Amino acid sequence: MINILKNVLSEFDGIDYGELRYHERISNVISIRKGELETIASNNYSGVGVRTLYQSGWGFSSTSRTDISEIKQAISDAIASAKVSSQGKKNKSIKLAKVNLAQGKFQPTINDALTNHTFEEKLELVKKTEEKLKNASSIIQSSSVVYREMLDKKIIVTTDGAACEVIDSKPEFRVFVFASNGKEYVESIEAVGITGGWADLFQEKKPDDFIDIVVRRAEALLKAEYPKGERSAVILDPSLVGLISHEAIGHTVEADFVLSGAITKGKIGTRVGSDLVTLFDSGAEGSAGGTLLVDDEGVITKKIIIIDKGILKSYLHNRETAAEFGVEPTGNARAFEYSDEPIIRMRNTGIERGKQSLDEIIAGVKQGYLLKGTKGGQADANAEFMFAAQEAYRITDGKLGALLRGVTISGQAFDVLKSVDAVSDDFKWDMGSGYCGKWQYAKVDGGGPYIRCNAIIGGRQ
Amino acid sequence: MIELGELAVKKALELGATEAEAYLIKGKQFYVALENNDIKLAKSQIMDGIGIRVFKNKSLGFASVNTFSQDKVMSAVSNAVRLANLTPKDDANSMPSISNNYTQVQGIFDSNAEKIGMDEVLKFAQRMLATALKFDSRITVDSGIFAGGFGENAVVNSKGIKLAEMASSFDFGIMGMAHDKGEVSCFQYEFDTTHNIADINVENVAMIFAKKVISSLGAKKGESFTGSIILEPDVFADMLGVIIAAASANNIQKKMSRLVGQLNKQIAVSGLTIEDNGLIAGGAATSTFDREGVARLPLKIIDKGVLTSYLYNTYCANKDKSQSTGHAVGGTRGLPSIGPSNIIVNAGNKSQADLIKEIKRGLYVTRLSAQPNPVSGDFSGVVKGGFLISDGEFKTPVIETMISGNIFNLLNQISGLSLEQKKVMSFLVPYCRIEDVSITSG
Repeated sequence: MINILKNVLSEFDGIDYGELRYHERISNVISIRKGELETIASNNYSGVGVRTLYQSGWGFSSTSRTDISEIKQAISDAIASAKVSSQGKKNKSIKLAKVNLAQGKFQPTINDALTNHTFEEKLELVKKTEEKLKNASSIIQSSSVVYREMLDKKIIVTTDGAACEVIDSKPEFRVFVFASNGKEYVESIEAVGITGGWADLFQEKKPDDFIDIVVRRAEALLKAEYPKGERSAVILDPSLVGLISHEAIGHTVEADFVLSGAITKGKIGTRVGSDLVTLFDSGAEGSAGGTLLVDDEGVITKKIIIIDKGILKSYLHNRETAAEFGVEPTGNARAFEYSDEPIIRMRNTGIERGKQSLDEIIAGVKQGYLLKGTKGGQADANAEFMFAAQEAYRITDGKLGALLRGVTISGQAFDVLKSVDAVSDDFKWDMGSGYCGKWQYAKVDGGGPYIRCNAIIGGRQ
Repeated sequence: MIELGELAVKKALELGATEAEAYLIKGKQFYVALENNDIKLAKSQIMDGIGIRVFKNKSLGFASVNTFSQDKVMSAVSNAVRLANLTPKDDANSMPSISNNYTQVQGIFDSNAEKIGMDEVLKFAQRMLATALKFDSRITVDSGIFAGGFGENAVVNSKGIKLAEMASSFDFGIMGMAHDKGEVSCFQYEFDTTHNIADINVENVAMIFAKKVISSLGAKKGESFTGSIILEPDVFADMLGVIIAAASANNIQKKMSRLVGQLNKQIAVSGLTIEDNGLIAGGAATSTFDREGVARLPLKIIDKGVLTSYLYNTYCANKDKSQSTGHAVGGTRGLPSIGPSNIIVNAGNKSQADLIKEIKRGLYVTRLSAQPNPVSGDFSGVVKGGFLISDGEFKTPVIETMISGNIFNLLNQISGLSLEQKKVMSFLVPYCRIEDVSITSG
């Protein structure tokens, strides 16, 4: 395939830039809910995406047929689109930053390939786990276990030198219960999503551990009170730190968004967080769920420090915005499937570890909360955010107290970063089963240490 | 397409399947994306896809592939049958048979859509962008799309269903914020969809967006109190989405719903009626048949506050020894699940202005950033583009204000629906006033 793609590059003669990306994806999913097989599917989604730049106009086309004549047709469609796009484009100075583009083969560390394990084995695992889960407690109304895997092979070839093959392997495992005591309902989720193989997926927790965690949490939540709304000292766990880093901060430093006037525009070099906060985005984080060795423009990824000790240092770029800002591309151009064009996306986003132990940080709180686990949330253009936590514990005079449920946290993310007065000495990626949506999906991860900050706690009154 | 579907079904039966279904989609689309007040990209795409569902002695298998190339389709068929050899037997696994109650729907295919090219699509996108930018210089269009295309979907199964239908669609929307002296407003967006070229109104979408975004400038911290709220139709539609999902038979059977055991009971104020109707001429979700080839029929979900029906696909209907209501939804890449078609919420008897005038102390909500618990209905969300209402009049726009409660409980706290209804994608919804809502400001 790489030779076929190289051979048709000449179709871009007279055009400013051409990019061909063959992407073959096998995605398999098994889901059992309440003892019944809910989904079993094997999907193959493959083809070639063509992107081209002509006089500052971008054009894109794709084809699921991979013989030479069809690829040539897609190139010609993309060029025609670029020409139309160029007519409508006001900014006529679009350029791509020069960078050494990827050549050769790239593959993350995969311990025990997913293909070594049969569909039977994966189905059996989901079945057994759900069976145990269903019977683990009388409060369980509904239980579900899902296994999902994405196996990718990409070939990226561009008119300015990229020629690489990129392999990827991303499995996920998710355990969920919905529980009730007859009057009230709670839910509890534990999930893992990584880059790697079968052995990597269950390295930290075995399937039975997932069951214990979700059931114990559901039992406790059913007895828990709701919080009252207030501004308070809050300690966030690595998954919530990951969620804020990604959702509330990360999106505001995506350069396409910065150009549209995000709140971080013109703030490089200024203080946006307390000096305890160093925040980064990286494609090269081993088994983290958002690991991406080469982006979809053929740029080799690396770790980008976005905020260094509280000072905003860098945005996240593709080759176009890097040229506009006069910096190096950061390897953040990503496309979910062959039929998607690359856009600026995060990879693994988090806050660097600090020096204090979690116990010390808790001990320093007179009145406040410790929040653990995410249940999703949203953030806005002005970095105002609202996230739901799975668990919240009241802290009084430095001691952990009762569990609360239905707790949300909200605030303005940069105000929250400025209020950070303690960062723990551990680090964990804990958002890898998540997908980020920005016109198209992307597999991302987020994480960090525990941090102590100030934010608004909300919940049902 | 039907021929390829028949071929796939035949092959599946030859490989040992006892029932087989092929769901096929092909389509062509032109798309222009906006970014940072400019054109970002023009994209054309051709989509082919086929999903094969088989039952082998009541055991399920599914596989899909995004090409009509025969060898790949046949390999997907054998994958589906292979999976059916592994999975447990389930007596509810059977496919629908052909029936004679199909109603040919109108207004979903505009034959002129086949003639639309990238040039026209670009012009629509430019008009939408120009309208928004001209409204006020403080507006930034962060992103937007105009997409136009047409396609055909088909269902073929081994029980006699062989159906195909053409549809065209034009989807367009715009999102962004406003800047004023260092202040960045919250995000606002507006989208619309139509099947017909004559109904494309990009200027209207751009104007609604522009007004929303400008009015959210100058927001101040709100107040904490318990009072009335008015939900714009977009926000009310989102909330009703939770109620409708709870009425899905799958969620009922799996006990993942607050509506378990509530059939024929009063679950809302008597002024509320919600109907699902997949046959409305030109409706965004209108079609003759559903994802499994079952005929669409109108269905009252809530009638004067009483829950009158759940939504069924064939699998869930089989489990309840009932009939599918024609609500199987999904694409080629997954099994048919359950979802609504067009949702119509009845209009009330007062204008939106009168609903506001009667409020002593309240909050007007144009957008709510919330993630309600789909099962319990508990929610706590940040109000975006909200306004305090005092003695029947709009006061300041607010930020950092949250409302919380339970969506199912709120159905009994509705004190008025407006005469005006707004089309929100496949929903037709009035403004809604709700009493005794907890409003918190940080």
